[in-house]
Amino acid sequence: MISSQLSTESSAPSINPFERSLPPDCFAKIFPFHFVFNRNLEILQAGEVLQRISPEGLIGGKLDQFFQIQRPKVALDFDTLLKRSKKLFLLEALVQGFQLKGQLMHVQAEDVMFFIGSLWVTDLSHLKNYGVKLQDFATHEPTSDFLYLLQAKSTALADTTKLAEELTSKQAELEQTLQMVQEKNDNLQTALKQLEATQDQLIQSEKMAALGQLIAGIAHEINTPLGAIRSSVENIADFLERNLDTLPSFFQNLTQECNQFFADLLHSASQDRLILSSREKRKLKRRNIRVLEAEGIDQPDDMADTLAELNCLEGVEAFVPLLQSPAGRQTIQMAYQFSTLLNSTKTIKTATDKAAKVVFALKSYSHFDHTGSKSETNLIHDIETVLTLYQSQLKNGVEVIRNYAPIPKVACFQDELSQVWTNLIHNALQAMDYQGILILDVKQQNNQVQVNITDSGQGIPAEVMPKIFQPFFTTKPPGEGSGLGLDIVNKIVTKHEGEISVESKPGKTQFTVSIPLS
Amino acid sequence: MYGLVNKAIEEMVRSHFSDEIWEAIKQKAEVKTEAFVSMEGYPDEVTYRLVGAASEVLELSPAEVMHAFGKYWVQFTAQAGYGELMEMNGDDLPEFLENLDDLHARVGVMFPKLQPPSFDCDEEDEDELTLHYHSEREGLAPMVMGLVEGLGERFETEVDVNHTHSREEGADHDQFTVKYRVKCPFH
Repeated sequence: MISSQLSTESSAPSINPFERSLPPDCFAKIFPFHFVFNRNLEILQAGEVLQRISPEGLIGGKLDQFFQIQRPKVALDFDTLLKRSKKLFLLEALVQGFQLKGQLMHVQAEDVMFFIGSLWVTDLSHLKNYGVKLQDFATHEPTSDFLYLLQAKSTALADTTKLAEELTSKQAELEQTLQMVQEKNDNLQTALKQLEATQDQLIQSEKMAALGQLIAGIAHEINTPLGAIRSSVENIADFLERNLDTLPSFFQNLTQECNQFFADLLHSASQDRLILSSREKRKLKRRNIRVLEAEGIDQPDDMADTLAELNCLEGVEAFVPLLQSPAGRQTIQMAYQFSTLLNSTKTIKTATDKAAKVVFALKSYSHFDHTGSKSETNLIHDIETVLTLYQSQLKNGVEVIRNYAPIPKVACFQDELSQVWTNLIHNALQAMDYQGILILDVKQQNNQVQVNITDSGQGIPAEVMPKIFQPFFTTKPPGEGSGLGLDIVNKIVTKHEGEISVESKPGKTQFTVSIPLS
Repeated sequence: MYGLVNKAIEEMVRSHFSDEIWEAIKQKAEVKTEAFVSMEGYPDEVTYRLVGAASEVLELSPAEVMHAFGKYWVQFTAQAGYGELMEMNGDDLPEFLENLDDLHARVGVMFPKLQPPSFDCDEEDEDELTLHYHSEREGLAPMVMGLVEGLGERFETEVDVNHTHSREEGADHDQFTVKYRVKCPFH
């Protein structure tokens, strides 16, 4: 089929495939920016749009008056241009500055050169400056499409830029948010530290509040030895007032024999006394009176009393020779007075020891450790300190049973654990209205120290039991308890990674605190 | 439909209503895209869903939404970088409408997947023309009416657009008569 067509065509008369050409007006329409020049570089013809946008006098004017060649870099000479008819030419309009892109075509018959090309722009806004619209371009040529593409590219670029800006802004927002989160975190950390500090202060306040409740008892504990010291000092002062003048002559006139007696009597007085019942004492005294009467000693009753005070209940016969002389009686009286002096000093020592013990307990208890670090602590010692402070509440009706097994020292926040013992002991005493049995068990169990505090009070009601560790829960009348005691106890034990539990029934309530050793 | 159209819908809602309403429309339309890319092709369905959701949220008919969008489209494309191209396409309304097809044809040859519509103008009278609208898509005739009205505003020309032939009613293509009168600058 194809071959027959080809044979048919080959048999047809030969025609020039390019014998048809556009009429000049059509040519001008499809090349609105073309121009034609001769060997003298005179412009003979130009497209309508090129004429419109060029200065007057284009037709008939010289090429180099209107244009310069940007590419190729050759001289503006007809023959030179002729040789480069296949080159891409870029011309620049000297006045308006627009560019024409195209090629040169030599027409031998007329020896003229055609520039076939179009306005070249890379920015739409330039068109306006040159007074050109899209419709000025020939429809077939791609300049308009190129401009559309250019615009599409710009739009895409604008999109990209906008998206990049949004991304940057979102990133900044994210960073800002992160910073805010960091700040909030820091604030929370600070708040947490403040809370911990407040908690420490709260624990200390609770301790001091408990101390306030104890202070009357503690005052009594200090006041009693003070009273003993005072009366002893009065005794000593009274003796010195009465005897200071006569003492030198008394010792000066003391015979050797009396001197020995004096020393023996004081020695006897300073010895520990025999532990005798009142009945035994009375029996011995009556015997001594009889002996003294038989020896004709004046005022045998008084003398027997004096000798008893001097710890001489037995063997009074040895003193008879001394008592039969006036100097001897005086020696015994003086020895008696000196023995009361000795007793007074002993009383003062005992009283100061007792007061010092209370003061030491008070000092240990109220101590507040600001170091914030644990210390190796003897828990039994701390429990005893609390008991000392509660001495006056305990001594009238509470039997304390101590079951202390040997335990190692515990690394702990000593002040805080003291608060635990105080609180639990105080609660125990209140639960049994200061009448009953308080049992303290301390022992090591595995890797823990376990402290049981048991009271014989009425017990904790079942409905109250679940709430006892809640803050601000109290069964005490308003003003007597903050309701924070057991909450604080619980927090302190938890802080030590320990445990607290409670079991209760009427007559026996036991709190068990376990503190790990390491 | 290319992203520029969806962006224009977004911009119209944001500028005429609020960001919250746009988010509500997007959510209703189940469109997850954060930002439309202008020169990217999106399924037509996305645009239809957005218009449908806008119609529900704004309590307007889809035709009213498309009409408003057509008007806004002229303003939006001019602002979105196509202002100079539009200027190059004609100095007055009839010239612009005459060249409207070229504009879409060029877009079509460069981005064949976008399937832009085709327009044709018949001058009926000194102040009246017939606009023929051919589109692969359905339901966009109200947008064309809004578009012509938007162009009227751009060229300060009073326009009266009538939808004379509707494809939905069985016509071969949509046709509009456009009566126009340049506004007197002193009134």
